[in-house]
Amino acid sequence: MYSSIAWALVLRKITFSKIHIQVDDLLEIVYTDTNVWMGSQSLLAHANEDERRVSEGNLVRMQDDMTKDREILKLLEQDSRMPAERIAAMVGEDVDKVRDRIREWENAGIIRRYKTVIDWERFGVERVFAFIDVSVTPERGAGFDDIARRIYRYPEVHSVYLVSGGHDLRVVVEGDSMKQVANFVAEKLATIDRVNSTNTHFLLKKYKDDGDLFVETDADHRLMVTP
Amino acid sequence: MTATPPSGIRRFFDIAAQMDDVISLSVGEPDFVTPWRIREAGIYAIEHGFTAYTSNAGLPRLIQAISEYLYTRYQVHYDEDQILITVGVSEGLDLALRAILNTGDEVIYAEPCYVSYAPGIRFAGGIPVAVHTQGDDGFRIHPEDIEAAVTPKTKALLLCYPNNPTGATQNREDLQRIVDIAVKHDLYIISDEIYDRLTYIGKHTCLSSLNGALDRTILLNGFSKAYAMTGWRIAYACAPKPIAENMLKIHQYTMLCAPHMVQLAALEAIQKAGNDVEEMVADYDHRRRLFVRGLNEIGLRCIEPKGAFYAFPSIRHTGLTSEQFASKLLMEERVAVVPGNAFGASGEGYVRCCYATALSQLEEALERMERFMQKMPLERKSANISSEALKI
Repeated sequence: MYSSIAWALVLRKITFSKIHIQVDDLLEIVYTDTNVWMGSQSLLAHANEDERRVSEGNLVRMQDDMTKDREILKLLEQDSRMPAERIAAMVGEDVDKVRDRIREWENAGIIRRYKTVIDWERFGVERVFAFIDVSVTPERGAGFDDIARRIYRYPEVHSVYLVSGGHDLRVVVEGDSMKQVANFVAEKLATIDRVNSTNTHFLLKKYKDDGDLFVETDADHRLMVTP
Repeated sequence: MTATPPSGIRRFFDIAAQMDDVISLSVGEPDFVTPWRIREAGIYAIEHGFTAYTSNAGLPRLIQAISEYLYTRYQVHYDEDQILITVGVSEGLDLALRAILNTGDEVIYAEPCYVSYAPGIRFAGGIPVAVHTQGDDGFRIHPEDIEAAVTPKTKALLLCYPNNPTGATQNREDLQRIVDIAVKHDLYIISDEIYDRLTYIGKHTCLSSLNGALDRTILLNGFSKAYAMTGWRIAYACAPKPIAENMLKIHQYTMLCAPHMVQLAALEAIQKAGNDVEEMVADYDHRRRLFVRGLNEIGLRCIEPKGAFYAFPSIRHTGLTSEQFASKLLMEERVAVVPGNAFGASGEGYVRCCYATALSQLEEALERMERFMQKMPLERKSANISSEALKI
């Protein structure tokens, strides 16, 4: 159970691609489960032998469910179009239960939305991306949130992260041309109050994005039959 | 030597290799490439000139890491001079058999089993004695069957769990009873545990960890399956000291040592690639459930394989032999599976399907096999699938 917390904390650092999962919500669930788990551990200490056995069974079941939930989410994260029937077979779960869980996650905002990874360059559309390191003076009372909001509301802005290191915000901006992106930075980003400086890096080639390779993968070199 | 037939799988391979659009479920290796961190460690070793011989037993660092790994994972303690780095478990098995067998000694092993067991025993001058296991009870090996096969000439038992080709695992109690038999009759046990990490249900029992086992067990394991390193040919053998010394003697005159850079890659694997293994195992497990359920649904009854990456469905109700079934399936639907009799006589009536292949390929294979089964004028009623088998 503790490892699930660690896992969720790690996940919090990761940006999701194909299926957007709100990790804060997931984290809350993990915390909640942990509380239930720890609470029931102390109850167990006072329970008689029979009750304890039953409760331990429940705990094991809860942990199994948690593992299965995570497996289902991970499968959907890899392929958001994976049919519920296939997911059910792969994790050894009832198909209706899988459908219910997915619906619950959609309603709870854990599954944010379903999207498709497209290699636009291969399709023939040139898109320009830039990573912009932004140094700002945080506002009293609002910290970085207010200024981040001013930035992420622009549709040109692909992502905004608050990061540690020499700069404060890392902003990814998308445009049709370098000129368009440069203009956006000069006219919109750099002119925001409390933005002290910007440092723009244009993306030259995309090798791997959100876990997806954008280059050819190696062929299967195995023989047809091996013992 | 000429009395030993070539591997049945090879013969089959020659046919399949010449056809187009074949979905192969007949490989015996992971479909993952070796994790990058391990490949990178191998490249680093070559770049930095680790190209010389190592000591015969292997790199002390690697041996120490294996000793620590076995202790942490299974609470089994092997001193460093009891561990030998081999070129695959195949070499380890050959060394073990040659180190303990005198001409005419018998080795009891459970069938169906990996193709090299009986030939390996014969090459070492021994006599292979098969104990048959049955699909009906999950290819469980019954300790009393082993005891019944023991004669004054029996020298050793050879076991492999999780099993290739059946995917069967063995519970701790039965294994302990087998060890007790070995103690009673003073037999060695060679335990091939190459699939240990690929255990999906329950926990793997390392044979050496059982009461009375350590000083009569030769433990064989390696990197091929867990770390997707089949082509690197790297493994290890752990044995009681006098046996380890004899194995080392044969190894130093026949192999000298395992490749230096490969040993360094293996060191990276055992120390750093735990997460890679877990990810791969989770992936196999998903495909295992999907594929085994699929097989049972199309009338190919299959017990739940709890380990390795093989399903071993029965094809008895089709009225065909394993070889007939496999070649008909290959010719008509372009799906390659391995006839069960390649793994010994008790594999007859079964075929081995490896599910370590892309999900889309597995689903396509199931569709083709379903079409194949529908065309077959079989006594379908006899294929009554027990609810137990379907509970995956």
